[in-house]
Amino acid sequence: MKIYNKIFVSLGSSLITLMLVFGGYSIYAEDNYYDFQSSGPNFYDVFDAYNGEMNALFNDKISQLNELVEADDFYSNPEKRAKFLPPSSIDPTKDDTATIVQKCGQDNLSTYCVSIEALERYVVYVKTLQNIRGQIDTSLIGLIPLINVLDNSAKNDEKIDEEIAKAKVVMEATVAAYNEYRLAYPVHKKYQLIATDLIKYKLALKDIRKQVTQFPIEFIDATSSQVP
Amino acid sequence: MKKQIKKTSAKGFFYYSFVGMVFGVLAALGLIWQNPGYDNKAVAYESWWNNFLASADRDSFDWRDVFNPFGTSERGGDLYNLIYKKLNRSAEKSALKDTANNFGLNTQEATAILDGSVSVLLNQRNVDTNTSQGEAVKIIADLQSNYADLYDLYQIQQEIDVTVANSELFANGDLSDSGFDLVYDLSKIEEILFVESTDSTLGQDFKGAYDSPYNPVDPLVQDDFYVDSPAPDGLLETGGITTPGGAVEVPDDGFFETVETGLTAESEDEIRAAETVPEVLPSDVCADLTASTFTAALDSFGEQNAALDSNDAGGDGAVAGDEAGGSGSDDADDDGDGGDDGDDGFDNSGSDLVLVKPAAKGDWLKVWCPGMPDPSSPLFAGVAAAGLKSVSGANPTLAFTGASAGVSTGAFAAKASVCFNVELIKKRVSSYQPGDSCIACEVAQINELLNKTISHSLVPSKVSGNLLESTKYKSAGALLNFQFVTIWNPVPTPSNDEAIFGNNVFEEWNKFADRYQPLLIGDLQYETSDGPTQSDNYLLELETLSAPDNLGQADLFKRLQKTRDKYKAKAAFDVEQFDLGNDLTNQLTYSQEVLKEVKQMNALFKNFRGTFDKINTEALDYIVNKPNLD
Repeated sequence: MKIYNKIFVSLGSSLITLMLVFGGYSIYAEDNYYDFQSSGPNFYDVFDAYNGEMNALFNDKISQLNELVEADDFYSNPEKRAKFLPPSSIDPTKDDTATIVQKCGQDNLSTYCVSIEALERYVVYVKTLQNIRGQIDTSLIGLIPLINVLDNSAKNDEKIDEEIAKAKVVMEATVAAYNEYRLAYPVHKKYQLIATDLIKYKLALKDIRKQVTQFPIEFIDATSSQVP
Repeated sequence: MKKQIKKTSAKGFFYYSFVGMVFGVLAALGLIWQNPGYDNKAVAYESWWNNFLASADRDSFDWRDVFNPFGTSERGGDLYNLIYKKLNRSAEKSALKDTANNFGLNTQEATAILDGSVSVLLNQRNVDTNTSQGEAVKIIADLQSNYADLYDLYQIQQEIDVTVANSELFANGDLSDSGFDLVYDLSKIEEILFVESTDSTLGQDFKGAYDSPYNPVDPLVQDDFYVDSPAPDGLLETGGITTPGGAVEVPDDGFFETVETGLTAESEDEIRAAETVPEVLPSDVCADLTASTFTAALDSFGEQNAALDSNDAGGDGAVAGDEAGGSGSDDADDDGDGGDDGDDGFDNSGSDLVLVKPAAKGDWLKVWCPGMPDPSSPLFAGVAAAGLKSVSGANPTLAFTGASAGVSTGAFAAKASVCFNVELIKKRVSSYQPGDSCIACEVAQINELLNKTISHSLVPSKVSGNLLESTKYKSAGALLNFQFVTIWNPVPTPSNDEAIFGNNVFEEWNKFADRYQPLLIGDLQYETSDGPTQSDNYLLELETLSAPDNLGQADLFKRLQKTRDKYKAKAAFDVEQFDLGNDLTNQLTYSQEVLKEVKQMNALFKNFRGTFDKINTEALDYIVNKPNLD
């Protein structure tokens, strides 16, 4: 076997294996996997990761929204404006949240898609919290009395219940604020464009007015010697 | 040999394929490790909580910090954190802070006491060392209750803020909280359109709002909390608070009004002595207005006025009677001059009080000079007689010139220094200013200019060259398009009196007579020596007289006919001769007339030509060379 054949066979084999393994993983992997799912079993770690991801999600959406609205061709480009509407392929009666999130994609900025994406995270967050509910932090066993370990576990459970309710309220309020901003900011930019155009119109009228100011002088009692 | 080679090749193929598969699996695991989730685009944050606290616990972390940052690209950043803070952090933090303040603690101490730490409470300097455990527990319970109340209030406040604020944040007329505002944008558009924008009440204080709105989370001072305060019981009962400056804040409709006592507190006793404890009525009692000082003041004012009026009336009679021989009367009060008639307008030494009364109704058009008598009143005449020699007219301004004649100038200046004529002039002015510019202003101005333009005749004018020549362009379509052309030397044209020649009057008569046989034409008579006779009878009589005797009747008629024919022929010849001669005369006359007309026409044409030459040389050259109007 020549050296080229050896290299060719090895590369081909590795590529095929790579596609099979990663492709299979991608197909059978969970559709939405978030960092906070693997942050447990400590409640604070899950809590910290979830809120960080939620903050990052809204930061990302608002940043995209700012960039989109501030683009010069936002109001003239239907594709860009379409990002403010949920995709028509979504069927809320049949699609689950994961499918809707997938259809929305990363660049859809409609409140519906953003809220569904946040809801999907929240649902996974609640599931994750439910999974770690009742768990005992075994790393503390031996370091502190067992009763305290159990007490900590009970306190964690209380905080988990409280956090589930709080997180929902925060998510809803943030979506509401995002919706207001999504509505108001494009309108503000449009108002700015209208004001700019009106100023141009006003200046044009001003020029016309300056011309018209000469009309009474030009046309009233105008006398010339050049006509019969 | 070949089999050996094939075995070796197959073995090598599987070997290298296996090696490739191992590498492929390793690479796949590396990818999975790097990208464990199919749709996981989120970035894991290290210690979000620490970052959150770093920003959330800042005093400035509010809506304005999220939506109105320094960079517009950062607008909206950390919105989730802000809402999380408002819903889950602010209430707790504010309630803890206020509770700690209420109890004279810091937040750490308050937190420890809220958790039930009695030792922290007992170690406070302002707690009596003899405080029992039960009393300490009671204080802790009070503190926890206070914290719970405040927390609920702050929590409601924050929930309302989160629920309501984001819906009005971008349309409340305030730019500071969100960086932009739709109401502000509309007002700017309105300003561009109409210069003036309508004031928006959005985001503004309610007009009838209190200056200091009641904050539901303000400390409730009437509660008997653990406060190390020297406030006396009386103040606590009435809701008053003592401030360090010695002032007492007295509750007034739920708010505090500071009453300066003017004393500096040297000791607690002095403070207590200086404080004005308001009277607390046991029940709502309406004060008796008749006995109030306000009513008494009104009565006193009325009495003083009545006394002054009576003095004025007496002064009128006395002084006017002295100076004007009793002609002065109280009429001066009624004439509406509003002057101080008691002093006669000049002597002010008798009284320090001057009553200035308004003019009577209906007299506002009159000249009104406070301190001067009415020029139309007898009192004014009395004044003139007393010494103002130059004051002879009704115009009070003359009094200034005559002031030196016999009247004190100072008194005059004090009493009649200035007279004002007040005229209210209403004039409608345009709101348009040259410096201002708006679309409506420009359109209005254009309309005004166009109206002014088209309200005049726009038929172009020209410099007129001739007398009575229109100054309008002749081709400009004027309403009356007169085209007068006057000439300096009018050309006389011949009169329309041409004679008509060409027909013989006698032939025309014969034709007329033959054609129409006019009545009695046969009765025409010849003038004979015997008088007029008819033609036929005359001829017959003439032939009869001249005919021989043997001539018969027939012959006679023949001769008669012959004679008639001869005369007729002769007459025809004469007529023909006359016609010929007459024709020649007529032609000659006609030729002469035509010649005369031709001569006149020649002269006329010469005149026209001369006129045209004059117009060309004198008028047209002048018009052509006349400069244009710039």
